[in-house]
Amino acid sequence: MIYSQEVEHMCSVAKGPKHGPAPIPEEGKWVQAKEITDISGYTHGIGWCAPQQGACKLSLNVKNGIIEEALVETIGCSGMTHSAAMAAEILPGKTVLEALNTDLVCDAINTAMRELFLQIVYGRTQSAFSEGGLVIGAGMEDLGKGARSMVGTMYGTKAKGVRYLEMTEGYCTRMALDKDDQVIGYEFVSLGKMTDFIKKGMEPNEAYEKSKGTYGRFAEADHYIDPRKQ
Amino acid sequence: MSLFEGYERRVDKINAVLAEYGIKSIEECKEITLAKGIDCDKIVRETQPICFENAVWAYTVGAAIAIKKGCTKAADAAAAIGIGLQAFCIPGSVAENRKVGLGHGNLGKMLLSEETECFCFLAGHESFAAAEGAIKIALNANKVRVKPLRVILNGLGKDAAMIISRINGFTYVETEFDPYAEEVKVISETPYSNGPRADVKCYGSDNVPEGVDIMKL
Repeated sequence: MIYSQEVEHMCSVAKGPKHGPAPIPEEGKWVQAKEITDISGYTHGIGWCAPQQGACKLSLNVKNGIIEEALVETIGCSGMTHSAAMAAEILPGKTVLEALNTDLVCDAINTAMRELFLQIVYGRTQSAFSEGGLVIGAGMEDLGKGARSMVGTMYGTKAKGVRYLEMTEGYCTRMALDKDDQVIGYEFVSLGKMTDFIKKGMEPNEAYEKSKGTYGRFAEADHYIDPRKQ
Repeated sequence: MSLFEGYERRVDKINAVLAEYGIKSIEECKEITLAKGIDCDKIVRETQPICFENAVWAYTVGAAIAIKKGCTKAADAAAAIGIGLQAFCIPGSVAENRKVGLGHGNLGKMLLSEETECFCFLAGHESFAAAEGAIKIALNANKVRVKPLRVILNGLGKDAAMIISRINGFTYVETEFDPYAEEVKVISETPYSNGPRADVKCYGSDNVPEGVDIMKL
């Protein structure tokens, strides 16, 4: 470190305050975070690309500054699915600081990483008050049975009204309409469940029927429509 | 069902271009190309399985124009295919105004010409799509060239470049950059396949200056 002549010739004025930073809640403890290794927690970040045609939800489980688990979910763009494939291999094992200047090959994923970093270093994690934090595997648990992302896909026009295409429960197969042509429920097939059945040797048709479910007043409908074809 | 998305907005312009070459319809283009044993539908879908219908037809139209023009050299045919692609650019669009179709045809022509020695993809987040293009170029351009075309991918981070090379069978070139002297040196080269895909070299860089220096290697 080099001091300028001007600074070198100054007299010393003592610094009084010697408190560290305000402690942040991390995994059930209050921590004065000074180094990146002081950061632990499980949290999420949401990112978007410059043209805002794609978005990423990134979930990281960080222990002592190191990313131990990464869940990368993307929506809206085909290219970013490949970027996500790379990011899920690249991120684990890096420190959360190191991950900032790592090319995650997609604007949205990089932005999600930045937003997640801000969450985690300011102590706003999901596991702030959970003793010992969340287990490695919490990301998979977030996905639920069938290990598929929660995605909603709905479409509507002024002329022809609304179509439900994809719900948390699964792929929407039919919409239930009443006498006035208004939506009163829907039928879905859980793609995760169905695929699991088929993998276990069940006939596809049986698996399809077994993975179906309905929501709302589906049975009371006047008529049903296929949201993709009608 | 129309042949492809936006058919009504495109068809008049396409037919006007086709008339210049004595072709009556888009469908006739398919007959012209198949008669010469060129299945554009198959070629385009093999290159990009998630392509739009209009990509298939744009290349069909371009190939038919190349045949009608009597192109026998690959470089000339590439430029003629560009005329077909340009016909598909919607009037008033950015693609139309910037002559994206003709540009693609001329880019193809450059890659097939001996004066061009190296083709570099500067790939960002569409890097897998670029990789698919690079594979096809490496596989096909050299069929008609005397001197093999060098194909490189640049612009990715180092980890990502390594993964893309591994998945696509390229050669990953690890480099180290001295930011003070602005000098880049090659540390290692790892081919991830034995075939022509390994002729595609993929570089990763930490920043723009390193990427620029890679271009000078």
